[in-house]
Amino acid sequence: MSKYSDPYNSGAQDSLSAFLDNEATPADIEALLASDMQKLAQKVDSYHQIHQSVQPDSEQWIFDSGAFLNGLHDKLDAGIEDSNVLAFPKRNAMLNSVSPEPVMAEQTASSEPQVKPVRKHYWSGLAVAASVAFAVVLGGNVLLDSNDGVATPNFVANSNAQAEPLATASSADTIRLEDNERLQNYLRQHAQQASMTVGQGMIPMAKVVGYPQGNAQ
Amino acid sequence: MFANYEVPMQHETSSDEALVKRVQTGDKRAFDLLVLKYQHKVAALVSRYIQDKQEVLDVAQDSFIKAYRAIDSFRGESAFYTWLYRIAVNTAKNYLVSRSRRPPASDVELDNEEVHASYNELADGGSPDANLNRDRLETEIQAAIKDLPEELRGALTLREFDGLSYEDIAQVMDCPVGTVRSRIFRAREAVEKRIRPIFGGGE
Repeated sequence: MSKYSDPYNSGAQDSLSAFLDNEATPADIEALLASDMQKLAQKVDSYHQIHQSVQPDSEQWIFDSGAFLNGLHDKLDAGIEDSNVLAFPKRNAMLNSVSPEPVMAEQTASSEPQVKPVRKHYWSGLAVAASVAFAVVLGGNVLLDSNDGVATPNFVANSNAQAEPLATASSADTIRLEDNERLQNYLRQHAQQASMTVGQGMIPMAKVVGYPQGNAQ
Repeated sequence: MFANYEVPMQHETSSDEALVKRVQTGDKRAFDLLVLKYQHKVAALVSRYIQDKQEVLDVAQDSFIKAYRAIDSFRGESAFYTWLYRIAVNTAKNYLVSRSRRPPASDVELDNEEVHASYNELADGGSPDANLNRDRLETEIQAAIKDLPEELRGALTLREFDGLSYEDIAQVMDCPVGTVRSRIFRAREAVEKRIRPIFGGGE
């Protein structure tokens, strides 16, 4: 079908020309409002093409104004305000919270069904992330606490042990065999858990490293 | 006709003001007229921020939607296009921010195939056929303007090249404003008649 086979309302013809030139009168506006918008859009495209041809430096933007208008109506009817919602429904949930529009835009009731599922994705994602973080922290603590039956020295134990002779040259000579085995188990455990206990494991490691292995009796 | 793309209009036109008031009272057709008037300018503006042509059209549409929803807040303290210009710039910038947080848009499902198809048909810069068509169109328009009667060509040239108002053109051409208006319209119609076949139409 020809785009230009059906001239638009003849009464509005020079009104459109004047309107695009910012020279329209109230009568022109009335005439244009009474016209078929799609046919006006065809004329706008032609006039725009002429303008672009005589302004070679202007940015070349040519598209079907009627289709643009129809698309706009479709989005308005669907309550869609941001094309991201339509094109990228999952990702847009995060974007909404990251880059709020500076332009105040009223959300109509019709837009709610479009936006709600997106927010659902957002909160469910947060819940999954929180669960994983909790599991990692809890699992880490359990691993740290597990000692396979071997009592792991800690600050409290060490401070309590101050009543006994500590790592002096004379007391080291009297370390019993079972104590030495406990120490070696402790060192092995810490070596296995080193990747998870980098910060926390350093202090007890530094303490026990002072016990001589070869002097056990 | 279409004022300079480089800067927003600095003055409010009475027709824009009248249309905005109508939109504020619920007249959607009045907003359609504003869209027809400014859509190419908004698209050109958005294209300075966004490279992808289809995304430009989407963001331009979004800009108009935001303007429509916020039209009640427009108090006429600036020109309508200045206000619309700000909305379009903000929308484009926010779109860029959002785009940087997602993977390449290879899985985009186009929401407005009609617009994109027509855009590709008319303005696909990568297509040799489209380039040829555009070159032919420009050549034909230049030839049509050259063939116009002197008074029509003069009026159209003063308007399109020099951006003069009808009143200024009337002074330059020493004729009534109504005559200027008529000459510009007739000039455009004559040129448009020449380019119809290239647009794919016909009588």
